[in-house]
Amino acid sequence: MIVRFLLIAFFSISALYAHKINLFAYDEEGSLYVQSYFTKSAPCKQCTILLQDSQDKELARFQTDDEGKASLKLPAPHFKITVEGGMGHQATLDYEAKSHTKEELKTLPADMPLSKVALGLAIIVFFFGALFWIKRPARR
Amino acid sequence: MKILLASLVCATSLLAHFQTVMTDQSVVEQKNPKVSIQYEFTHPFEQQLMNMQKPKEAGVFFEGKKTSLLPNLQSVEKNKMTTWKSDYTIKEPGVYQFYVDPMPYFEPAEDKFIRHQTKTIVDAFNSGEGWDKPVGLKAEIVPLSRPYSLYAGNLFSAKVLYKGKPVPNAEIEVEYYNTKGLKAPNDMYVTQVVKADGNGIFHVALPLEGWWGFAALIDDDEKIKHEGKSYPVELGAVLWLKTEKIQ
Repeated sequence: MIVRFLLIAFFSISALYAHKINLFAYDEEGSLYVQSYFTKSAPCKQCTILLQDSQDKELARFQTDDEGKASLKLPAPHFKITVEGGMGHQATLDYEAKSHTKEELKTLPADMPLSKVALGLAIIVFFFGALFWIKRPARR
Repeated sequence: MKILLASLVCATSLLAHFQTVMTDQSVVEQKNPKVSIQYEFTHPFEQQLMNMQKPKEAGVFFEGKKTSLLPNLQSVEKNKMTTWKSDYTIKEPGVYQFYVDPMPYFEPAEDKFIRHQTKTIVDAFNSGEGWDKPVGLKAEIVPLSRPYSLYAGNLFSAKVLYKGKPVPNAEIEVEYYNTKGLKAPNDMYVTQVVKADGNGIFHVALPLEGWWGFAALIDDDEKIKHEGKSYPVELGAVLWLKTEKIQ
């Protein structure tokens, strides 16, 4: 019985060692989507995902579903993602968000540099100035 | 004069024609998910290009589904010959097979048409599965060794299929895409040749880092009419893969 248990434990460990844990993430419209797997058809089920900022402060901790997937709102524009697959297996990814976080969406106009705003205003003034000059009454 | 002409024809026929499909990366990482694909009709070792017409079909095969890349294809002039390129952004883990079915090329020196159905296989984000699945081309090489993340010096094994069935004793031409200006001792060294076993399985060692092409040449059951005459078709099952040097 003990031998059988040891054999099962040995084969389980061997199988796990044969597989490297992988982490894939992308974001869309302020949401982060994470997928973790050993191979494409072997998801990292119910694995813990940890998001941390550059000072290693925890931003979020959650678990994958049975397909190895999870999603949540983007907590920051840049953070570290770690997946823990048990038995010392983990994978880490430095992540730069491509879509805006919810907080950033509220302040989106502020993203526009002042130089671009000034240029836009200058173009408008020039356009209406030119229009005014063309349409001005002819001098007699 | 006759002898000269005959030897010229023999010399040109010694050069193996290869359709290529090569990507700028065969293992895709998250930092760069955009894959650039180039399509050429060439003599890979000598780097002698031929004009390539817009192919009949070009696409990507992912998880049992084909997606056409034909609308995105752009012609590129290289050494005064037409080649083609496209790109594809990968959005999820998996194995992606980029393939092309070119317009049949008439080779007057051999009195036949050449049609090389060609593919290369790319892994995205360490998915690790699906590289051994056929795309479903009429002639196809299906790998038995993982066809990416290979080291120079590895032994590569694969199976030749025609209409989905193994081709016993198929003849496979092997060429190195020679961008390093390597010189062969003589013409016989340019194209290596191996034969498959009774189950269509062959093995090849890959001594150099870079791109390697394998072309299993099969007499197709279809003929093509050209200027009132019916010509046989050399149907090629072609696979390209890249090896890397251990640093």
